[in-house]
Amino acid sequence: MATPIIEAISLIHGFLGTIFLMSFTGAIVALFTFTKNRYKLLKYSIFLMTISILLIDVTGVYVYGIYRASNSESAKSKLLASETPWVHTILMEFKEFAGIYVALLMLLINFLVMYYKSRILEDKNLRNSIIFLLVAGMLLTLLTFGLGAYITKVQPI
Amino acid sequence: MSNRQVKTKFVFTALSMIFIGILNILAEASKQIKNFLTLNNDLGPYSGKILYGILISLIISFIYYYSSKESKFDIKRWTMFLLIALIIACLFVFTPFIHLILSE
Repeated sequence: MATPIIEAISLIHGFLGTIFLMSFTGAIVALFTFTKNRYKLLKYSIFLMTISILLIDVTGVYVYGIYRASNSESAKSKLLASETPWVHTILMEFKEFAGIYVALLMLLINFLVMYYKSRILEDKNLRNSIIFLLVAGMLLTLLTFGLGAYITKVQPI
Repeated sequence: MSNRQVKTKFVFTALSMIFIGILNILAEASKQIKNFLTLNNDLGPYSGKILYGILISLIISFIYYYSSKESKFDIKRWTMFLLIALIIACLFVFTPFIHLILSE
């Protein structure tokens, strides 16, 4: 049974994911309206996405430490002893790293947005590249989200 | 504007992802490497994979930054390079693929 602190951190971990998804909407709106005055919306949306994914990773690492505790009561031990060990060996193993990849991608996108400023909204190639990178990061985040929800459903912490 | 800075950022991001993946495969292949990567007992080898993966990429990126010259920057090509690196990195942390290349 998880303590209230662990439950609260798990909740924050999920809630930050919602902020990440909402900020993505702001960034996409800014990128598709093609006007220079949308730069602020793009900048703040990307900044919020970057901060939230970094916090998601920090809280995730904390929860992961509890998940993989060496005692037989930990979620990892229970999963490995169950009929569905692949939930850990395949799904969780992938999820651990996917979140880090998204953070690295978001740091790059944030850098590009700060570096090129409103040129991103005028230059077609720049804009398309940012859209591709954002969508790749978003797909990976959705996958990570789904895996997190499934793993928690199969074996709560 | 300096293109080198932007290129280096792309190189750092791509290499970080790939090196984290490579360290993950190496940890699966060897118990000694797995122990070496365990910097924190709570997190296990995950701690070393992330830390060393990023450190190695930082060093290579610095070398790249100081050894490369200003040249034309085609963001489309660099984005493609990064997306390919992302796909490879995802494969490197996908357990069935690791078992396939380690022939387990």
